Amino acid sequence: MGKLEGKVAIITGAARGNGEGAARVMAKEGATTVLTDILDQVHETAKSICEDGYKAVSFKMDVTKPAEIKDVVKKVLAQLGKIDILVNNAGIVRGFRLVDMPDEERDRQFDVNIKGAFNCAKAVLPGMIEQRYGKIINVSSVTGPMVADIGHCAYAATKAALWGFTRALALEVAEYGINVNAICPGYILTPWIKISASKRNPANPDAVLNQWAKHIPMGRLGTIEEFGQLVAFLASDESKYITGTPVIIDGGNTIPESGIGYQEA
Amino acid sequence: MGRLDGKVALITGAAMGIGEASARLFAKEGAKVAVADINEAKGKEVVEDIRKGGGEAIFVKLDVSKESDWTAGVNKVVKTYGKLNVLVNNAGIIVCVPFEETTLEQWNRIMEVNATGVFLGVKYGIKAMKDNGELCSIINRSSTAAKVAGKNIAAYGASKGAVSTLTKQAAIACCEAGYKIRVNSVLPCEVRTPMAEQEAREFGMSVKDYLELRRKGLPIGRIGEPIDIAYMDLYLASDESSWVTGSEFVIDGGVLAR
Repeated sequence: MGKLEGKVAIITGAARGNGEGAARVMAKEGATTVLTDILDQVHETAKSICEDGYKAVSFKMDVTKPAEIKDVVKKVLAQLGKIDILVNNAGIVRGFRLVDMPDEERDRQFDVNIKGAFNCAKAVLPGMIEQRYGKIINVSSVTGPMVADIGHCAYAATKAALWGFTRALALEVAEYGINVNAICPGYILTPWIKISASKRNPANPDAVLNQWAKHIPMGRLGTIEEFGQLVAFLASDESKYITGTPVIIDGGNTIPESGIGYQEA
Repeated sequence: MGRLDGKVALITGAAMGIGEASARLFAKEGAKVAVADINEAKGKEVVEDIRKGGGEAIFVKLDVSKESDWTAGVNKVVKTYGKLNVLVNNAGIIVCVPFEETTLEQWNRIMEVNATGVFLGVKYGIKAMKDNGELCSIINRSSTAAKVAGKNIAAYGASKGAVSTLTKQAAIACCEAGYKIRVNSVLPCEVRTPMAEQEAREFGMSVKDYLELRRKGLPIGRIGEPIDIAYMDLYLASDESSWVTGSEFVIDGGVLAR
């Protein structure tokens, strides 16, 4: 029996990448998964989970639009009766040095990455509070809370903000049996990572990915399945004494003094 | 199918408390378990219980602060089960005394068991695991005391700080050497264990009153149970966590969030 049998889980940004990994593993563990995304692809991903013999439904949803979220939550409650798990995974990143960063770019990253998490949590919490049960998992990053890169002023700030959000919300809802935690992934082999490798070297993106892999102590990027396993653990009752905690999954990437120093040593 | 099928696990301090819960859970999930402890009577009871439930286990007498116990203990496991995949460095002790009254003997004993014991465990664990060609995992029991100060536990807190840092060093050393060994630390807080009972005595309180006092400080509103920590160990022991190394896992009912 799976560790999420009978549970209903909403995952944002679930069309592909980490969100897809989370949905697939949670579905395999018995959850009815509700995949949401701004991309049409979300329907295909849900269909593919169903074809594997697991439970999934899908909705197009923009986490920056509270009305859309409210509508999806209403439909899920009508269809499935409850929401046990929310994975705030939707996120965007676009690199600009601060001096070159248009204000709209800054706002867009804050709107999706941090306000999106606020919006979704706010929409599902009344039901969770009423049923005295819930799990909220915020997908932060090692970028921001632990480390950073040039061009990531906005992204790093939003991901660090998710730590504070996670802690404060955990304290607010602990008395209702709701756990709130954050996951901080390092480099995971997602479509987004592949795209950014292509941007750096259109002729040979694999060379870029291999170079990144070399900088990770474990020698490879993580898989979306490995990411999903950690989500499933935090979404399950096995982790019911864990709340307000950020958890790092990065193949050891943030442990050495610096990536470069580690390579040269 | 168990989540630890085909794995051999050695757990120190497994006669009681969190170590016992992990030993029982690991066996239930298919691991062959070496129950290591200095308490032979209680350790053997755990082994018998696991066997009665259809699991596989042996007892290993092991004082984690003694190097010769580690070589003999690890040898016994490898001789019995053919290999070692998972090591949980769980054994630990505490003494609750005001900072200024902490004696050198107390400090040394805490360090010897909690810090040196983990160092020796990691060292001999790596030695036993590195050439077996399989995915391996070492889990070190730290504590939230590694991150924040607690009343009258200076030596304990310092020893757990050592465990957290040692974990990162070991994780990187294994990566550098190309070993398939992951090393992580688990940081519990406020768990209903024999150690908590000892703390109650040292603070001159009944266990019930002490736990109630501690419970009130917990955002989650209840004291943790050993099984809560055992599930964390299970995730880290299994291949579900195959890309996690050098990380700290806090399980504290929300204490550090506040």
